[in-house]
Amino acid sequence: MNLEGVGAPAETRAEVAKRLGLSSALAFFPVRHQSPTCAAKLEAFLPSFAPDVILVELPARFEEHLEALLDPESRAPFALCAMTESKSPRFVARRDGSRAPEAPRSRAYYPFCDYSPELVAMRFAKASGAEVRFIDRLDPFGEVETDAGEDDLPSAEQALGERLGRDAGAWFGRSRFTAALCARAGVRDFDELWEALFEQGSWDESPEGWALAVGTYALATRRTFGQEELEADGTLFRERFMAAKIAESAAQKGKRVLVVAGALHVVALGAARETLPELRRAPKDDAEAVVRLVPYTFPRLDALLGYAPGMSGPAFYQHVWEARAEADPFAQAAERVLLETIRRARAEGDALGPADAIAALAFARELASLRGRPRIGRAEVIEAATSCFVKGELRVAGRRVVAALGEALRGSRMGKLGPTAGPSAITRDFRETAEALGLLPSAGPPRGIELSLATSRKARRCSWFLHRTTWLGLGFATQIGAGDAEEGAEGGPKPQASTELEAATERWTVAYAPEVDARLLDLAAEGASIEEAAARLLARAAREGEGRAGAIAACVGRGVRMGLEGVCRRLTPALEAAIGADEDPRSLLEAARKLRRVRAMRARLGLPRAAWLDALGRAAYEEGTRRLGRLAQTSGARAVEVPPLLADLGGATLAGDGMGPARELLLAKARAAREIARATSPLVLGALDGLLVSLGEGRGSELGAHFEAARGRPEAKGAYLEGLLALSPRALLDEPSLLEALVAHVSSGSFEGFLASLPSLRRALARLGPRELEEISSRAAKVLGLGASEARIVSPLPPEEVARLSAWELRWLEAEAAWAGPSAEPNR
Amino acid sequence: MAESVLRPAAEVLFREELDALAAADTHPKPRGFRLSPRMIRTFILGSGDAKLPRPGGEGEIAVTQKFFGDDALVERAIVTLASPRALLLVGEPGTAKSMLSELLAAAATGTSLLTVQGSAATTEDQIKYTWNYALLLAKGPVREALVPSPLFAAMREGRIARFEELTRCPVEVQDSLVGILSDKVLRVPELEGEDGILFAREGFNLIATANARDRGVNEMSAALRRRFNFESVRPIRDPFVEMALVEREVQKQLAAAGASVPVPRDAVELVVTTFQELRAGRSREGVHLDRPEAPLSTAEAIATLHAAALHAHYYGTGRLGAEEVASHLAGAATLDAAEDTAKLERYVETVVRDRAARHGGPWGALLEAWRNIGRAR
Repeated sequence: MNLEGVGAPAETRAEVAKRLGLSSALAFFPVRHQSPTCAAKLEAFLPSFAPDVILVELPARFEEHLEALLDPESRAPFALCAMTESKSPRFVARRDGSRAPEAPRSRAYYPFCDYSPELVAMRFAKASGAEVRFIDRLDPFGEVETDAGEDDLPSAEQALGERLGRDAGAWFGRSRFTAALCARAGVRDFDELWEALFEQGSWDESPEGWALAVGTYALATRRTFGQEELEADGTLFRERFMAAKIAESAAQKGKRVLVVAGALHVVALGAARETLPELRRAPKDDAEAVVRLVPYTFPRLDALLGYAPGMSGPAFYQHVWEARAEADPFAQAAERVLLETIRRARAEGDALGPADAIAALAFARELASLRGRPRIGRAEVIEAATSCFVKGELRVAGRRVVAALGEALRGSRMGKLGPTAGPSAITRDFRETAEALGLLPSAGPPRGIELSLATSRKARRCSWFLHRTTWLGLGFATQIGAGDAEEGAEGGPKPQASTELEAATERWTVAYAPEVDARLLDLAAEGASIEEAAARLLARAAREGEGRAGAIAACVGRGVRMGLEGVCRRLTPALEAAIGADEDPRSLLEAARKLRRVRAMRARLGLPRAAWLDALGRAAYEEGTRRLGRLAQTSGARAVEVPPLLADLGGATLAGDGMGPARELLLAKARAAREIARATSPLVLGALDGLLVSLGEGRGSELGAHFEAARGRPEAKGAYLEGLLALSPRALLDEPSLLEALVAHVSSGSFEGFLASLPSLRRALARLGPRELEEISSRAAKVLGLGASEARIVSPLPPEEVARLSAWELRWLEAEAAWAGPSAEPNR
Repeated sequence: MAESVLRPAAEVLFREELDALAAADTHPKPRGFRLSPRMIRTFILGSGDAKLPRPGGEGEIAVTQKFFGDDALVERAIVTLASPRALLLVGEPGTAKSMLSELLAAAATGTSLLTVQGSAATTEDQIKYTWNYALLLAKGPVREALVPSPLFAAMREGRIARFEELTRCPVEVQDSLVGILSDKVLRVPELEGEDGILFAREGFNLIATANARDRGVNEMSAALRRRFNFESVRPIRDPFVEMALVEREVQKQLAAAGASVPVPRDAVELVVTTFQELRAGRSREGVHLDRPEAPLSTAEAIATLHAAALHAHYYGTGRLGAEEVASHLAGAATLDAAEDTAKLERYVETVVRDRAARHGGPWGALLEAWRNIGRAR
């Protein structure tokens, strides 16, 4: 498909040529914001047109950053970030209707890379001495009120609620004209159509021919929308502002003016050229916003440009741009991406070589040819790589290749700002926020802070800020007595974490050191503020935990502590999907436990109940319950993780607060799991028995029998008892047969057997309180026919201490046996 | 001939279309191909509203769409066949891998019949060549005593051979393909001179299929895997496309069987929706479902509805209703594993029950029919 493929009638093309006026003193050049072909055509057009003034579709108030944008020491990508603080934000959505914990910041990004036509125009202006003016208005609130296009965003960006500035509402992507063209050209979506028509499909066009074709497409697209739609979207309002700005410059006699703006806008603005002199001055753009120039990265550019306003795969397009002087820059870019894919896949263990690169490049050429495209595009590169490099089913065998391909297309380039830009946005945000909260110590030793979260709003904001800085690794704040339970999310269950997480008072020390600034420099590309960078890293951590419910739930818990509930809310789909897909019951029950704690913590802080949290917790408990059979297969060192998880599961069920699983489901699955555990681990079997007893379903005779049946290793009986008492501490008191079995083991078995089981028995009994121990002792004495005074009192020491003493005792007994010399028995 | 044969080959069934495409073909063709890649694409994906002149006759002919769901996959498959590498179609049972390979072979080199059916009992002889032992004893190893395999014939004639269920063959037998695909040469050491070596003619290539449920492609040797480009064929995702296809195929099969049973749209929707949701492990309302072992493919949906309609035709009222659908759904779900019945049961008692309560209609009828069957059992 070539430019003729746009299929507009000749009169439309003539009308567009008139509107663009590329040979008149006021010319309009249509652009797509990140397009290497567009940038190359504009670059070729500028010297021949020789403009005195270049008008760029950027908010007029950004002009103060022009010098920083063109700093010769800056390296793209970078972005202008407009931040607004709003009491009722409309484009960082909080769709659950929950009370906002603080006025959130809305951010609109205007990214630039080397192949941004606007940057090409500005750089030309600087070199040629032309004047640059920005003609758009800053309108973040008018930007997006719906979720249109959001489904196309990767989960991290969905979670962050980020938006691009200048998103013209994805008009092209949703127009009927585009849909008809896609069907005719046999392409899958607007992005592929754009590539086929205006990127690789139009590389050989003249700048004027390219502009005419894009303008024709834009006009035909625009005509499929009514004025009401364009008005409702704010497009017409913006265009009236732009027209007034253009009129101001066009009024200068004898100057050649070039307008560089989105294709949809220029076909409308060009039509109004005759009426421009009648326009009044543009109103002042008074939207409240802080605008900062920030470094940007290719991965972020890729993530945000996956829909209409720009194109994803920035490294591929950067290669095209860098090879623009060559005969076929697209083939060169394809070759570089394919070789890079092979390099990365080989590093991960795939056996790919140059022959595969040659095959893939030839494949991509043939595929483009079959599709009637003159050059290889991004779609052909992707399909060639998956067809030629993946040796097996794509979803199973293609993971490494697909990941390598994604990296190669995306690139990892990070932008850098020259000295004109001043300190980074995140550094300024850190200082301003810390000072506003009274947290920035002047000098000297670390300062202690106590925060009463339940009563003070400021304390809560301080807590969020401090948790964010800790999460970002700034080395600025340390929480006293925090432990590492929640931070080390993948570790085993740590009971004390519950206390810390649920505590309504936090104690911190804060200390400023130069290392804080060093770390902030590293984080400059992660966001313009501490909140944004923390949210970004959190979303990334959640993405890395893809498919593992426990890991994503840990991120949710962390997000709530950092006051990023909006981000947590937006992680819901990923967590929901992980709960459905995660086959690991430990991960599922761990996720459920974390979500339950988050709910408890929110309740302590007086926050309203969140339905999304309840639903997620319930789903995690139910899925974990369904996989109890698999949990029962746990043995070895990991078996110790099981009792706390089951204890929490039982607790959630008994609490009846809507989060735990249905009792009938749990009973059925626990009974089935118990049959599996008989052959795997006595500790897990004991815990499952304890669970059933705690739910009122265990039978005393079974417990005694299970205790007696626990053989094999010396510690088996103790392990069974440990698991049982962990979930049902009164089992020894309530089930006489169990106590009798224990007494029988202690009193009638071999002394060696008793001695070997002693450490684990002590560990098990250490879970009981002094009253229970005393009661058990006296009942055991009765079973043995002894008087109460003869029953030994077992000291209620902590389990760790008991374990240490038991080990010591065992060693001592072994040593004593050694001193006594060899036994007289012939078999020993 | 087509009328008397139960299932004619693709090149016979679609001869008119292929001839029309060949006559209209002005695009460059890979050497040895009967049609250009663009025309092969049109043959498989259809000509849409466009029509071609009927060759040797009057009027025009529209090329029908034969493969649904993934146009780009078809394009990649065609490009692979025009390249030195062979094509391996991998996927769940019933995703039309074999049909696609048949269509590709018929369109590219004129025949889809040069096919080796792989199985655990496949030997190297069946892949390369064997002997007519009477002639061998009478005349010794001479050219006329050699019995060529389909692959041998494809190499000799410059055609595309097909290898069904490649991964069901023993690995060492699979590896006999390495030399053929690498050098495009087959040696016959028993014959002397030029007869002892067969160079593949232009146009030769191989399309193999592998079932993701049987022995996986991971057991293939790395050497053989390198000779293939792999394409994963997935079930159709779009329910409307799948419903249209199922409806069309069931009606076609019923007409061929002489059973005039109307196929209600509701029945098609019930079966396709049930299969899609169970395959995905999730209902459209978000209910998590246990995925059955049975593949529940489009082909399986067609077979289920076809059987249900025949049941209605021969034993019922001649109308395909919820009773027939429910009883054949249960049969389809228990093809591979007995525990699938419980999974289907759960689907009915959660998703179907909920829909029946909210919407009634066909879902209500299905629930009632399912329960009636359960009571009868």
